[in-house]
Amino acid sequence: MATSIIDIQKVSHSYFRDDIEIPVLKQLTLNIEPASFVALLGPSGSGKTTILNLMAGFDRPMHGRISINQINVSQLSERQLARWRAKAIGFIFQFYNLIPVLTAAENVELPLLLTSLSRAQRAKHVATALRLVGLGDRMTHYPRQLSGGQEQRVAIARAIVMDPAILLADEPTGNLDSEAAEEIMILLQRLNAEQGKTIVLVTHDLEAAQRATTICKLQKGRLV
Amino acid sequence: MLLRYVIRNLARHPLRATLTILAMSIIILAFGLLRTTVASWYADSLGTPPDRLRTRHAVSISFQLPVIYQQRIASVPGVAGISYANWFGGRWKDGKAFFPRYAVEPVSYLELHPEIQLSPSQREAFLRDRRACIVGRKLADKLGWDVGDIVRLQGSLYPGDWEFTIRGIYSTTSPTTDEGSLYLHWVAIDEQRRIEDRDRAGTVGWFVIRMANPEQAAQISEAIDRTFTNSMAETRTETEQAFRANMATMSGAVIRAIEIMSFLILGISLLIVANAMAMTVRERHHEYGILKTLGFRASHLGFLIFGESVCLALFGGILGVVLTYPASKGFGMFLTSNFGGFFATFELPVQLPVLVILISVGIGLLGAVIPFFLCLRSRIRDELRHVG
Ligand SMILES: Nc1ncnc2c1ncn2[C@@H]1O[C@H](COP(=O)(O)OP(=O)(O)OP(=O)(O)O)[C@@H](O)[C@H]1O
Ligand SMILES: [Mg+2]
Repeated sequence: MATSIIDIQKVSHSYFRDDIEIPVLKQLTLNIEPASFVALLGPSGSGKTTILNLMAGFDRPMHGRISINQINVSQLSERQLARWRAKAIGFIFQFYNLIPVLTAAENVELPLLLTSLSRAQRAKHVATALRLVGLGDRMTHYPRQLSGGQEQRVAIARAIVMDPAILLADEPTGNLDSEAAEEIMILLQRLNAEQGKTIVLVTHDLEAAQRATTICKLQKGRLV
Repeated sequence: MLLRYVIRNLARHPLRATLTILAMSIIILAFGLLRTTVASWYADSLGTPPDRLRTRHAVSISFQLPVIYQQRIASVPGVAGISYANWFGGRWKDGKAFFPRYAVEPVSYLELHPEIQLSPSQREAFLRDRRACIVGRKLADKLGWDVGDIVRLQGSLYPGDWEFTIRGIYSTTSPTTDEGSLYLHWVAIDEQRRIEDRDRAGTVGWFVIRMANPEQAAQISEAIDRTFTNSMAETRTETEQAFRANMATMSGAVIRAIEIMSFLILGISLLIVANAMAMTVRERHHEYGILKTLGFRASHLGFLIFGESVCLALFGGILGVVLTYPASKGFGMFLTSNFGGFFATFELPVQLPVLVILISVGIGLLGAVIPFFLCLRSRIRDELRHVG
């Protein structure tokens, strides 16, 4: 499948606790097309976070191959991985994971600091990203001065500010009330439709999953 | 922007940062004082020309020798000149400005110490007036004295209130000889002793001897000391350098111990900084994980961790140096007034701030090494699980 942007081939992965192997993913194969919006559903402990972490290169699969944009992620060195990740992947977490001592704008600016952009160019990108998520007026607010939904939108702005082709979101609405959750889902949908971002969304929320173009169900390390 | 992040990180635990900075500054303060003690010790013992000997009481410098030894010493072969001196001690005003005060036999003393330079007319005036004194240029400038002024001293070894007229201001030709002392006539104070304290009259602290041939220092010293074996007051004669460096109460070994200690306490400061950084990095475990997911590499994380550590150590170091200046006044006064001639001067070495800044940066960098590697070693997936 040459057209897929994310190509997971027969990936198996286990964790070890006190030398006991805990198999999590079993021979998992998954192809994701460019510009698609995939929701990954599954019970707790089924390995959803694990597969997302492998895609982002936070961890290496024990068996099998993960290619993203034709790049075999498992073969990159830590250093290459970090460089590649900064450009190719935007990650959104359940707990926003903003840096508390930095303002919204500074949080969004973080990934840009690794580039050679000038201060003015960075400021422009930050403003664009924050406006896109509807927080153009909250630039100088600190995370503790924002609501949960707003924090998550800052996190999304941070994930898209480098303009990556892929967004990986691990239960981004898991910590929000339904209204805020819906706003986040609409935002993701827009990013997918208007900007052509490939989105992989892990969620428990069936309703949220309906906004995706494809739904995959994971059970005990296998797709069903 | 990363720098701003470093600074805000510092402020996250104000108490911990403050305590670490304070601890660091106290250690740097102690380091500065110890280093200065060592430096002024060496400055003092190195600054004398090698053609002079000193003869003192064999037991300790705090015991006195009879002035009548002068003739017998002078007759020892190889002795080309002799003079004598004693501490005057005492206090000037509130005792806050300390300077060494010597009671000397002026004619021979000036002759034996050509580095003490006086204009012929001032020299003349000083020699003529028994109640006169001369002071160093630096001391005069510091205390705003001029020729003709009267210095009032409160005596300790020589009790009572004393007044001496400044008849001359000397400069010195040797950079290590201090311009911070006061010299007065030994006879002036001995006169009073003869009236009030007959037993201790006619005594001096030490004799200064010029050798005809400096290479004979060992033989001449021995010959002098042999002259007084089994007498009431046995003597010990040594070169001026040795005289200063081998003082009974504070031997060179003590100085070396101080030197070692000054570096040991730097080790303590290293542990303090490293401990603070280890705590910090452990707490930010999760945050470093987030940064890694954003593509931050070892160099960027290193900047944050080392930067914070260096800031901590540097702020402490700078505060320490700033505190050292006022503290050295009190400490120097204590030293110079209690160990008189061992530390004629107590001045902070000019390079101390630079040294401290280098040391602080070094401590900051070293202190962050282990925390930094702990941060690098941990994996993103583990760091992120902390909260989730
Ligand atoms: N670092 C780890 N060490 C040991 N076991 C782990 C580790 N990470 C995950 N596991 C185990 O692997 C299994 C799958 O975990 P994973 O986080 O992928 O599940 P999940 O589908 O994301 O669940 P949830 O919906 O609760 O987030 C779980 O049984 C978990 O206990
Ligand atoms: Mg999960």
